[in-house]
Amino acid sequence: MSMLSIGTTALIANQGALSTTSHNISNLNTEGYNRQRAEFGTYPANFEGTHYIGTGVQITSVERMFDQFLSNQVRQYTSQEQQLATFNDFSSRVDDLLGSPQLSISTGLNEFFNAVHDVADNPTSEAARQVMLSQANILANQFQTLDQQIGSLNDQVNSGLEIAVKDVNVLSQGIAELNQAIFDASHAGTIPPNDLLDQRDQLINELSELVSVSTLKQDNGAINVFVGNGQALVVGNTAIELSTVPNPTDTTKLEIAYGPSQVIVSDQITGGTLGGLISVRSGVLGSVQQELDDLATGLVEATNAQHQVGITLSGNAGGDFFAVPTPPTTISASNIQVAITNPRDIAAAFPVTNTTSVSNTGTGQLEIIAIDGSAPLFDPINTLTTDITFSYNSGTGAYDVTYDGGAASIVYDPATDSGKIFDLGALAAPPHTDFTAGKPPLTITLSGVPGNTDSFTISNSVSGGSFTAVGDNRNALAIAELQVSKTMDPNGTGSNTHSFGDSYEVMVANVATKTHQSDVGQQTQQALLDQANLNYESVSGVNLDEEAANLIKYQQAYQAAAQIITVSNTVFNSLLNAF
Amino acid sequence: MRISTSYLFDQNLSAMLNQQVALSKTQLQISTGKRILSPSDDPSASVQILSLQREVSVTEQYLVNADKAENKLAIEEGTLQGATDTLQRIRELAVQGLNDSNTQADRQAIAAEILQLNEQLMAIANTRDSNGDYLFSGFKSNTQPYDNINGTYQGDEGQRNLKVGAGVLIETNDPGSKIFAADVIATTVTAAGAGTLEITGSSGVADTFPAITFTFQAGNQYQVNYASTPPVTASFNYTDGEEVDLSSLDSGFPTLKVKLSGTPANGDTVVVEKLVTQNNQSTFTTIHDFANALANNNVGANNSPNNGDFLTNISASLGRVIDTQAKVGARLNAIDLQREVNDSLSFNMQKTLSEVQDLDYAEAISRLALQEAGLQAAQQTFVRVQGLSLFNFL
Repeated sequence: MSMLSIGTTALIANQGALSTTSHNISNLNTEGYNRQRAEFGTYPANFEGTHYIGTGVQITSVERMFDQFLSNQVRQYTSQEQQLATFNDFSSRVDDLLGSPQLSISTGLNEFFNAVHDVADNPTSEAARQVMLSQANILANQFQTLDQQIGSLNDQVNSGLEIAVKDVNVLSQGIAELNQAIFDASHAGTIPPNDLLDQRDQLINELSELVSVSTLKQDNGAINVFVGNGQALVVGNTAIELSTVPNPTDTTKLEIAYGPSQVIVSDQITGGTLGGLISVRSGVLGSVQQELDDLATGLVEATNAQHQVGITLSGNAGGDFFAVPTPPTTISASNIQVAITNPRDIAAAFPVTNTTSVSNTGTGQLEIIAIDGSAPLFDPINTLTTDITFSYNSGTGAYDVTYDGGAASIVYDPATDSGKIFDLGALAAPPHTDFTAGKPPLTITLSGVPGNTDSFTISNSVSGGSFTAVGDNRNALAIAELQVSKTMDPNGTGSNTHSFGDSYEVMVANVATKTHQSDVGQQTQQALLDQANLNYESVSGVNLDEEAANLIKYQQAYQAAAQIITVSNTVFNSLLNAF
Repeated sequence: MRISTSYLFDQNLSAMLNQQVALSKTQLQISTGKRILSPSDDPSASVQILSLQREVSVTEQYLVNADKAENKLAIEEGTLQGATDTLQRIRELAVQGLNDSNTQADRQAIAAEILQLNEQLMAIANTRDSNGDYLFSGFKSNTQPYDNINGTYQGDEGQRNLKVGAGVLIETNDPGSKIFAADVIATTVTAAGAGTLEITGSSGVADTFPAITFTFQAGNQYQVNYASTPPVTASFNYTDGEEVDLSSLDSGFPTLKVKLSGTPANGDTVVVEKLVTQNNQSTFTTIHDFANALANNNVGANNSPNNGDFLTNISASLGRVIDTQAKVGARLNAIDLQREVNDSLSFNMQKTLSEVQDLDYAEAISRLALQEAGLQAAQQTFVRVQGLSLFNFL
């Protein structure tokens, strides 16, 4: 083997190395590019009887600097980070909605109940009543707006799912095609086609932004890709599609389906944009919407229950304050609205009034504190079928009560019972004697020291179509009291634990906590991802200083090889000149 | 460790972007003055804020209610003072009119003035507030409580409560039936037989007393049985037309002087008693009846209650008004006390609210300066590091 040919191998090999370095420099900013390195090896030496003479250099391979473990780590953290980022993106929008002073149900509730108080302060004022209606409308509007905003975030989740699923399919298809191309180019797996491998790894990286994937390398060089509980997206050169289908029970939600049979796999999908969308929908949007509906239902039912036992300024039955939709539609934040338009129709008065007999000698007092309107077809105009009369018998120490043609007796000892509450619908016998005919739907308190035969009469406020107790504010006070009453969220034993305001605060707290958690979680994952990227890039990334140094190294080697050619020419000339 | 050139670039860039995000958040905090921009910034504090805001709103409404209640009660108090003054003037005129030195003409003049004052008193009872609601008709705000002097009360017993504190309800009105009505007492003399009795003096007599029965007996004697507890009995010799001071017979009797006359037979009785004859009679009726009696000069001993007993009755009426005034005053005091409680609650809650939600400007501004310096450093580092390359020397 001549010097000339050895020099030539050196020229060729170093030129190859210079090309590889140039390729690295050129692809500095190529997404997914892994740096390459030309590996040199000697040509097989010639045996000269007593020794071997070297025959030069060759590029044995061009290595792709790639670490599968680090790559998998980057993908895993990418999926987790992306899931939390998507979750946080939606969750913080809900958080901002609930925290906005303009949309806050909390403010709306406060102002509505303040307006109810103003009506209680001055029940004959139509202006105060008008303000109460306006505040009720504003509150209803806040519910609806919030509901619409949550609804529109749901729509965005749906379109996000559609886009992400399409992207997944495009990427799966690309990976399947690259599997085929890599198989074709690798000469049965012997020579790695580096740039194709880079492309495939890049597609898998992009896929891991959308969904958490696992990969399995085959002997023929193909990579199979799986999601969820092992649903294959890519098998060899075949891609299996994901799709979106409406949720069978709630068609406003799209679900992720797998394969031609479109089996719903939403619950099994984790990580990436898809995992983030699915988890924020169930974890935040769904629960907020449900809690908002529950709050609307609680508000409507409690307000209506109290309002309908009352009497309007015009002497009519109170009826519903908030509109109740026709079944099977249920009350929700989306359909809450005020049923009343005329301020006179607010029922601020109680349907019954008490009269103390003029001839009473004692200080006994009777006060009506609540009306039970729960009976079916309860009509406040006819709360009582007859007047109720109370007459104190100091001999027996009891009030003899007559109602509806029947009688009852309420034991009352002024020394111990003053201020005591009696539910006339549920008098406990003994010591009392329950009504023998109908029961009045009233709760009263008795106080003071009645004289013998002192009497009271409770009668309907509206009599013969005439209503004059227009200054009665007792029902307005009872409605105002709903602001501070625990009317929501019964515990295990059936007692309510929250007022409307409490309930809204719990909702805000839930969303705020989840948003905060996802924010912190995302930052953690981002830090892990940064670290994983640093490790990955330290193996695979291009460093320009290194490449510049390599340029110099290979250039010098190339120049030296060129000198070999020159020297061999000189040697050859020396030989020629000998003749 | 190798560092890839593009990673270095990305890292420097994202460091700058992160600094910018932090800077912009601090800037927003400073421009809004709020520490918490979204609930997730501090979930527990934001719930505390909502809860405090609700409490403040409720408490402020209690203060509004207290102002309205105070306003209503102040009107009622002033009106009742007018009623008190009028009733006192009527009482003075009655005392004057009852004086035996008056001629009938004098009494007619006084009666006319009393009737005039009675009209005025009724006008007071029919007072409306600035909303046109009657003060003293209970819940029947639009119903005039008294439409004529001898009419019955047209209102009801409703008392409007305003809520001025958690669990604190204040009554803001009183029904006329509890103010302009009082029990009426009268002294009655019932004779069975030929004996008659005239009350000649009743100074200092208790408001009411049960029956004192004079029974004529053999021996020209009257046996006196007083149905008090314990019963008192006495007897005295009868002299036609002689005044008998009962309290001199036995200290258990009321200080009552009577003159018995006629020719009674054994067993004839005369009963004298002073009792409530009307429960809760309208004050206007009571005054009206007296004025008419006065004008007709029928105010003698046997004309009870339109004689000296009227003074007891008008005092009882006055007592009702003054009692109500006292109640109103007590409610006004209760409102003041509750307002102090609410003011201090509200102040404390606002203070806590401010502590929880408001920004500490000193801290925020020094943080802003720090973040500014950080961003500048990141920018300068970026330019410096990006300038370093071996290629510069090739």
